[in-house]
Amino acid sequence: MKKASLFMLLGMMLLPVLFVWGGGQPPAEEGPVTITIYRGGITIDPETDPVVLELEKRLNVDLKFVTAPWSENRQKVNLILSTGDDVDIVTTVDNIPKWQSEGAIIALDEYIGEGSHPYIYKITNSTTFTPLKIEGKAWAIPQVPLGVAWGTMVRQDWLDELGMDPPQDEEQLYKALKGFKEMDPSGQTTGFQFEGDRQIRRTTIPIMSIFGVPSSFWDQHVNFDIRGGKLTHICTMDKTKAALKYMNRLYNEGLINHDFPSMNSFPQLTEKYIMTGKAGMGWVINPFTSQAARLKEIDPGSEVSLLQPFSAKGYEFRRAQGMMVQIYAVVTSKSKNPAKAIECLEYFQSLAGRRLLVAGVEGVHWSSFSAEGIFERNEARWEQDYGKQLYHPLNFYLGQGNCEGYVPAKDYATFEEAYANAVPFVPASKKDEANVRLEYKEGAKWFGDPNPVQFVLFPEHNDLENAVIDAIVIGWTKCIAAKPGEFENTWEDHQAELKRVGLDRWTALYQDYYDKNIK
Amino acid sequence: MPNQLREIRHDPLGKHIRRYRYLYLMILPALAWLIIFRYLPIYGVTMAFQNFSLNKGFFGSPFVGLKHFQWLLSDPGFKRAFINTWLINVGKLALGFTSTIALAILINEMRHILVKRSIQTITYMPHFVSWVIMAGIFNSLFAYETGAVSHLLEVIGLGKFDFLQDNRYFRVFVVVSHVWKEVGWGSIIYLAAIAAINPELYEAAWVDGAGRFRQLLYITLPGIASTMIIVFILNLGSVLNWSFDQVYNLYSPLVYETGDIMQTYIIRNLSHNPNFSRLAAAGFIRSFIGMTLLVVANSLARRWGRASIY
Repeated sequence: MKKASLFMLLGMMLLPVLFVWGGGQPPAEEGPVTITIYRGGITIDPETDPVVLELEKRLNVDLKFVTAPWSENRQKVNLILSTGDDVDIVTTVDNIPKWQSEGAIIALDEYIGEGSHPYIYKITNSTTFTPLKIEGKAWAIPQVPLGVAWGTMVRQDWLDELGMDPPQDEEQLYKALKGFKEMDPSGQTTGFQFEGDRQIRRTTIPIMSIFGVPSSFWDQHVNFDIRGGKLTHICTMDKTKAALKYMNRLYNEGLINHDFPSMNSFPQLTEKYIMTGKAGMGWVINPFTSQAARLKEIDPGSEVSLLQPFSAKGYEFRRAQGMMVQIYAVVTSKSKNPAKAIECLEYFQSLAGRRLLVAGVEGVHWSSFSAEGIFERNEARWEQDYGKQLYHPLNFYLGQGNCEGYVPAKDYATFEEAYANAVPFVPASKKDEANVRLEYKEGAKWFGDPNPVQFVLFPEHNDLENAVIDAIVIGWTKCIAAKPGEFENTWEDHQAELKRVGLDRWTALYQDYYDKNIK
Repeated sequence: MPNQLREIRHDPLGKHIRRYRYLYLMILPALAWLIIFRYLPIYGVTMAFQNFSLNKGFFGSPFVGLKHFQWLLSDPGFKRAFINTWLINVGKLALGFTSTIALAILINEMRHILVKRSIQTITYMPHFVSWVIMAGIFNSLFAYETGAVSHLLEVIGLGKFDFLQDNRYFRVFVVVSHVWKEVGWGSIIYLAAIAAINPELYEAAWVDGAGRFRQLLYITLPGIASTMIIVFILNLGSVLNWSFDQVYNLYSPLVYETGDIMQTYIIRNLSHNPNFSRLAAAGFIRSFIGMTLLVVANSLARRWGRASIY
């Protein structure tokens, strides 16, 4: 009996093992090189997507994709690079010095040349990105955004219903937001949709700018106000206090959603709240192109406008500074075909590559492209493959940052010149709406001041950097959410905490760098 | 029978294994799994004493001694997280332990089978819902402005409570919501233990004039005492490892003071700057404390003449 039980048990355990070993794919035949790319938030099926198939044909590669939801993107990137997963290219990487010191990524210089890889060469050797070099070598390709297609989307139809003009100062903004809230008898609609956690640094940009604070899209911990060669961190400025106090007032009157501290999937939740009519204002990407179209489908009576820059009384409007992304594409040290991987990255930056990644396959999705970036789209085929999306979902972060267009690095002496002449791509059917170009033009009203220290890194001070980031996120959240009458104490606590974690030392590091290299 | 018992006790090891070889062969796969996935990885704790780099491996990464432990133990954020972990998890242990026993006893007292089974099912169903989903539900129900519970409390005159964003309430909310979710599932083992008590004891007690309460005190509770102790000891050993899923999905920067636990603190730092050595050091601290608690609790249980794990 015992013997029978034993053999039955062993048999049951061996059966699934045999299935796993007995099945499986036959050995792969010799063919195109396989290049595996990590890129977060992939929604297409790479096995059947026409653009991916075309890329494979042009590059003679077999492209495999690894992905993760955007909310887990950073953890996934860290895991891939830490564990040495079999991935050739990883996009949206930050903290390049760490990965370089761990030997997780390769230096690009031995593979690229100005003639063979003009795009990567120009970008990695540009003045803007010189601080990124380690030991005189380039280890990553900055994912360059074309511009800033973000804006504070406003329900213009609600403003019209209230009989209000677009706000020109902070009091008018307050009245507009109050009006939005009072329009909903259930009281569930909020005026300005915010998101929290680390997104606090982004969703506060419009208000910060109105109060003259030079914040940034990417990271507040490298935001300094530079006057007369002196760096002052924005977190210590009175203007920042005024901006946070204003937001605190909005919060306590229910004009900013109360649950913002726990919302951390920017901008998806903001878009959702605006689409469902739960918010009248919010900072979103592609407000005129994607968001307006989506909102129109849900609410045909909706009209969208963008908040225009204005100054709060006694303050002077300041644009946000720096490039809006500080992420990179790298080739891992585990890559079996680094040269081919770099060839792919070079192609993604090229004119042909950008046209493919943004507009689709020539002859299938579009028939002609003008020098100004206007293309004739096959609307029926595009809608069949990609629905209402304006551009191919892989267009950003695969090669370049938010870039529905092309940076002609090859055609100019320096990357900086090329960047100033970047070309956004627009389908001819949308040309007259001019929304895409308008988005960049509108975005440029809020972004674009240079930040000379944005790409300066101090990897040996990572702990200090983390502590400063944490203190900013927590402090700003608490200041905005402070109960009535408690703002001043909360601000003082925030200042004390910044001092305790070492903001002075952090500022001194950048002041020192500025004095030695930039002044 | 006593002769057989004597034989088992005095068999030499080799003979004993031969006699029961098929039983030992049956547990061999489980033993192999235990060794490969639980004992061999213990070597990985060396990571806590190195500046570990996966590219360099265990033998290539430099040894740094107690540097990571010193960093953790001197970091105010980690200390705060350590205290929060204790407070929240000990609260869960205390409230959870008593609630599961109370629920088991109450369910056991029910006579109507259909009602009894329905209540059992309803109470243990939340156990199967992950905290990702549960957090979404709680965020909707308990949201300060739009939550149904907030509205209800306001309507009945208690005013609004910011359960999820106020440090005064967050810890309590975490403890109570956890107990609510797990009390049904946790009561199953006690129900089984109660079912194993000889019914004749209850009959004899009833004949002797003992009411329900005295039967509970003198039969039910002593009858499940061994189970209570074993479950308590096992829970105590893992008490510092609880709560990550729940807290991670519920907390926000506003409640870091009372809600940030060791795992969330480390994950937040990990996402900025991956440092597996520091993570390993934090895990080592947790495991060491858990093991100490388990050993102490087990020794005390043995000393008091009660059931113990070993």
